Amino acid sequence: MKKEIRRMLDGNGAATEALKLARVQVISAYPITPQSPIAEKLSELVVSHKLEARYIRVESEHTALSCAIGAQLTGVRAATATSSVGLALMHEILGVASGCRVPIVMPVVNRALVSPWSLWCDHQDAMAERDSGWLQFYTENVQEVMDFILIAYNIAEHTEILTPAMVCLDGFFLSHSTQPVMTPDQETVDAFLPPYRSKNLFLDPKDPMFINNLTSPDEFSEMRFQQKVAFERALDIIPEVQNHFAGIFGRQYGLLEAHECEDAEVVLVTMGSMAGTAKYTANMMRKAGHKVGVIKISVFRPFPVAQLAGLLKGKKVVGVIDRSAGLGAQGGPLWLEVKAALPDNDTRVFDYVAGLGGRDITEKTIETIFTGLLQKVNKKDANPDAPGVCWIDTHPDAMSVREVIVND
Amino acid sequence: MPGQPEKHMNKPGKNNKTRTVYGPVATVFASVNTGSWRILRPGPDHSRCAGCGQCETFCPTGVIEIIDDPAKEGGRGKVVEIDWAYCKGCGICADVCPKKCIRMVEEKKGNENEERN
Ligand code: SF4
Ligand code: SF4
Repeated sequence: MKKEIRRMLDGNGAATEALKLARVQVISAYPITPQSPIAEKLSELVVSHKLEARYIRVESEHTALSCAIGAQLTGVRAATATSSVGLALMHEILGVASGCRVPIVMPVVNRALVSPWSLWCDHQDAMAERDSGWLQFYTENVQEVMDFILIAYNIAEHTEILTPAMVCLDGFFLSHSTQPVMTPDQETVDAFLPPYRSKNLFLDPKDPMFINNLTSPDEFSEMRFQQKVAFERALDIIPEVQNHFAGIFGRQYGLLEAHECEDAEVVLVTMGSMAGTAKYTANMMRKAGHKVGVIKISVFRPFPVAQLAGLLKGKKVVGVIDRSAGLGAQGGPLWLEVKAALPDNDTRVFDYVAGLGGRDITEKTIETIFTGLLQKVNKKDANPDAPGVCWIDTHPDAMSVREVIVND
Repeated sequence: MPGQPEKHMNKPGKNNKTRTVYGPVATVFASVNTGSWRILRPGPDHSRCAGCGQCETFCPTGVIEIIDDPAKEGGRGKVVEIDWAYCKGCGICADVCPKKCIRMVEEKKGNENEERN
């Protein structure tokens, strides 16, 4: 019988609790804002023996993930977590974890990448790693942070997946926002997440293996192909595990979530904490008679192409909010995926860049987007097919925000 | 360039069983003769060596051993022994030696270098 207790936790607290419930035995984390409380709380749990684990103090994120990989290969769950430039510093090692099929689950607290220096929420850090061979989950609220981490372990460690997973939570909006969270008890989690065993590659002096050896062109493609197959299988296995989770814990999740989409004239595709604001704004606009809907992408890697295309079938106008700039591309990373998922030329997909570097994505921003999309449907838009990305919340004086004194 | 040093499992184990694994791994080992990389080689002055073991600790290839030398200090003396097949000549031992008794000398060529293989 599950025994959950309702606790007030912020996103970092929920992430820490989930790692503890997963019984991680080695932790190597390097603190970085806004992830620091995860690294700190885990160390407190280790010192107070509330979590029986070894805490390795490391000098960088590059080492943090390297240690976690080595530890996990000995047959334990190893934990680390990071943000922003910390994730960037892990870049090389991310590929080692995924290529060697080490199913580490890592909370990523989304924060903008440099420059300009920023401590605040933006998805560019995780988006820069979207092809690193990690599964990517994006969370809307603190409950999802807790639940998605537990679910991610079950998926990542599945014998057909064996792929590490990032569980992304928006910096500050989730990491530092305190919300009520149903926290499962250890026994129920133990039943959902049996003790970890290295089923594929492992480090064992009695059965030696040389892992990550030089691989010739004869086999490289094949090993990448093995990863590709895992990502394809994940599209089936993720919903299976989510259903299994719902059976035990009563909370149902999916690859994506549709809110009021069935009869919607326009649909807005969102990801992360902005989804809550978007759904709230959609409800308000529906009360005023506007048929608008919202899709929240929960799993970005693998991208749920078929599910999204099914939901958007027949829609004339779709909007996408990208919380990363996608510089030089035809649109932001989320827009590119949505656009490519819709073969129907009748669907026009518009990209909105918003919420960069910690800017709040407000009801007003969402309402402006919906209003614009509705005008496009009704052809009231002066330039309804204007190509390009709309930076919806950028100040009009963007090109002159800094003025300096001329010293000549 | 040395050949690929490790091979993926190409012969079945004792009980003829195999299993499929994903990702890069080798289970048949053959080490590269890293000794062939040497341009300089460590030349320890055994008479000044204190046997402290710093070089043994820091050698990245783990090829130094501190051994007893019965001919030194009435049998209590220690000297360093280096496995020339794998010493790659990096010079770290010379750097860390507190007695500064390891000097990097030019690698000898031909049959003068009888220990090289
Ligand atoms: S030169 Fe380098 S490899 Fe050779 S013994 Fe000294 S530390 Fe070891
Ligand atoms: S570090 Fe120097 S003194 Fe110490 S054992 Fe090695 S060679 Fe001898």
